[in-house]
Amino acid sequence: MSTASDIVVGILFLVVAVSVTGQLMLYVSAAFEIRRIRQRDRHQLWRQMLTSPLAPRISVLVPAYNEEVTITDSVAGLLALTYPNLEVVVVNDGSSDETMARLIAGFELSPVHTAFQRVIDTEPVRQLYHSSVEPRLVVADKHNGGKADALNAAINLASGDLVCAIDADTLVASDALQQLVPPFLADSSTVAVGGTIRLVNGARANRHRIEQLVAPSNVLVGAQAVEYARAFLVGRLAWNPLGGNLIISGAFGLFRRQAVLDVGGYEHQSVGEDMELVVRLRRHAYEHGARAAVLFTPDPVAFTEAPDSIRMLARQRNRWFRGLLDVLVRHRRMIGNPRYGTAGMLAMPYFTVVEALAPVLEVLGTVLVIVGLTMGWIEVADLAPVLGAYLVGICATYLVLILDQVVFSTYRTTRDRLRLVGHVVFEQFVFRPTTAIWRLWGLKLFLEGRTEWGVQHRKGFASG
Amino acid sequence: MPTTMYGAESALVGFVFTDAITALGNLRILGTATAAMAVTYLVVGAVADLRRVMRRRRMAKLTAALSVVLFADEEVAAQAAERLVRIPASVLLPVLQGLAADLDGESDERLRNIVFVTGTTRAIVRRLRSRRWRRRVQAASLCPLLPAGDPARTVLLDDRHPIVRSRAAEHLEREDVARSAPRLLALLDDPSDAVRFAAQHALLQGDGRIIEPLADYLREADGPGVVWALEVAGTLRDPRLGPAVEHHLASEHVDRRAMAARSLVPTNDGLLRIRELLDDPEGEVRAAALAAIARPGGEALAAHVGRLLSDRSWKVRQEAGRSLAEMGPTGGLVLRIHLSDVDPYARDMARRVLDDLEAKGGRAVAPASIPRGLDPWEPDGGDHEAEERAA
Repeated sequence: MSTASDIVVGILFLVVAVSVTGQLMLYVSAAFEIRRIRQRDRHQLWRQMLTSPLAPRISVLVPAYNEEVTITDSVAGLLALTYPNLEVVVVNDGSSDETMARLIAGFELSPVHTAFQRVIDTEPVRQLYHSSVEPRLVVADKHNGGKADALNAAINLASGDLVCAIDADTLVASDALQQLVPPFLADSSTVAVGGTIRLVNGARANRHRIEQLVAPSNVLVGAQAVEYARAFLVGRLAWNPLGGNLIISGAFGLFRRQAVLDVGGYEHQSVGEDMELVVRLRRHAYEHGARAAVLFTPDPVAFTEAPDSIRMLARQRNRWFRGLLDVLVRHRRMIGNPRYGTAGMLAMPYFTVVEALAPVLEVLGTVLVIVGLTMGWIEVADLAPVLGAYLVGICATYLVLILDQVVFSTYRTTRDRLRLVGHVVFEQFVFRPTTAIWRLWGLKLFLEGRTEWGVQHRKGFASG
Repeated sequence: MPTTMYGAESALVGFVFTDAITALGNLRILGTATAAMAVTYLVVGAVADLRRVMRRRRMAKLTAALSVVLFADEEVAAQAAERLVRIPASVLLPVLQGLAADLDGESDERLRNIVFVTGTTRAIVRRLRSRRWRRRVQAASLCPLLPAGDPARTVLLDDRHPIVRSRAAEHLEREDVARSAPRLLALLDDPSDAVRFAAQHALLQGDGRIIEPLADYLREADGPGVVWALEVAGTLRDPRLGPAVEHHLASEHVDRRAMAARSLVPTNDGLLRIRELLDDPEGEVRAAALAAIARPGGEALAAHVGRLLSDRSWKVRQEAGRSLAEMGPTGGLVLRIHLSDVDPYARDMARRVLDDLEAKGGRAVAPASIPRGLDPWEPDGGDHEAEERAA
């Protein structure tokens, strides 16, 4: 039995050691990167230059499906962004609710002849609209084809050199675009730049702007707030210097339009279309001997509504996980292939081992511990690595929150921070293990070949 | 701890009673560490809050004092300035930095005076010479506060760090742009895109004062910066640049021809050149020539532009439509004529542009329907979606 015990303890130790080492590496990288970005961007870098007539035109792409609650607020918020050379392209993806009617009424839309350059094939566009009150707004009403299809239609209609893909329920900080553009101006090989997403639940919004960010009182949303902070400030930022960024959130990211057109736009069949596009952009560049820089910059912030019910959250998480698996399977050729540089040798293996296998290992580990303790294969003293992993996890999460507080002052009252302290514990001991089960469910659905999105219900910002 | 071999039940009992102390010990360590991190987070948060509040108060006081100095009558301003002298430069600099770019006229003069009186000039110069690029970046935005004509104001244009060079170009004042135009034009060849863009931005701030050096550069240079100089010329659209741009119109580089086309002005010779470029084999150049027409004087070529509504390139057709829309009644007339063009692409674009004009509050024009099977935007032809909707 001692052999079985040794094996179990050995596996536990190995998993914990790999996980902790990987995490520590990312934290160190993120710390250096945030220092570098703060040094570069302080003193209001580019503030004047982005008022230049030579500043690139940005088309904000808004795919909308059954977004009647938030659509007019979101579009009005986007039109109020301070970036000077802006266009907003809204694509109603065959909504069955009042989304289109609200847009027509809210922005005094008139139908115009449906002529545009269909570079990427999409479901047919029924009608184009222009607004008599807001010349920067273009609205298309099309047959339902999914988010990727709506985004592709919006890319066809866009006239900007840069396209900003956002979700219809996303609120964007007024100067966020100004902060996303500089990497494109500084390096012509930049194809995509992403910004931080924060959760809007409970925040006070006024005139399409977030007045004050409030720590969510709902533990489920609170745990997500903690998770988002960690994911964006470490998970994304750390990959910048390593050159391995593979994810630009679908809720807020800026892309070079021509690069997106060159790879054929978003993939209709993928539920993880945002990550899939980024991986394809990088893969395309490597295969054509070019360079495609994908960067994350933490300052520009967009706000989105997080699911606050277990059912919706479970659906979202299993969809995300299916998306990840889909991307890894589609681009499996890149994994460990030196032809694809750091993306192939570092990022793809990391996503495969740490992200894709994580739920399997977590659930397996928990089962092993319970069975091992029950059968007497392992002793409580042998659980030190597991407790150590929890300890590292908690300390790392707090370090992210401290960093967030010092650099960005995200939560400005003690009450908010006290709430967050509770959310950290909940996130570590309850939320994370639960998401592992949802992700396993996603794995099952993926193996069954299920690719549906599921329904999301919005509450709207005004009620926040 | 003994390894129990008595089955699941006794193992569980063993765990509960025998290993409880170890478990509690481990949990205590975990709990203590968690609590310590939580307290650290709360303390750091509270300290950050306090610092933010104090900084905000200090800045508010300083800004109030500065606004008195900048905008009050001279006597009151002089008294307030005396108080500012006691404030250390490190505190003053961030506030001055924000103001430096936004003031002009008498307020700008007073601000420079404050900088001189408070000894901040020395602090700026020290930063200009600093070995740390971060300090030089800050100095770049403070350079406009140095006395007019001081060569130190433009010294960072030649800095070794690209971010410093780009910041220095971004913050040049208009008179410095005119004086440093040749150096700015040389920066158009800079390997850093950020520096190149900043130099373009700075040149545009110079308006008419940079026409002469820009024209000289366009006549003589042949490096990668020529395209960017032509882009500046295309934005300025000054007829005096015409002769300098001339030889780039025949360049073998498509991007140079296109940028040169954009800088043409539709009067006299310019009109002739544009007309020639409308027949260029490259769509990009034709589109650029169409963009140059879209302004007063371009109506003379309205009929020619109308023909380009049938061009094989979407970009050219789109630009032709835009140009006609910009031409007012003449363009509107040409667009309406093309509503019955034999070419479906031309009809389509004309209809789209007229619809756009109507949607934006222009003249209402009844859209002509495209016969079934001729609509190029539907793969299987026809306006079948409208029929589906009607059904």
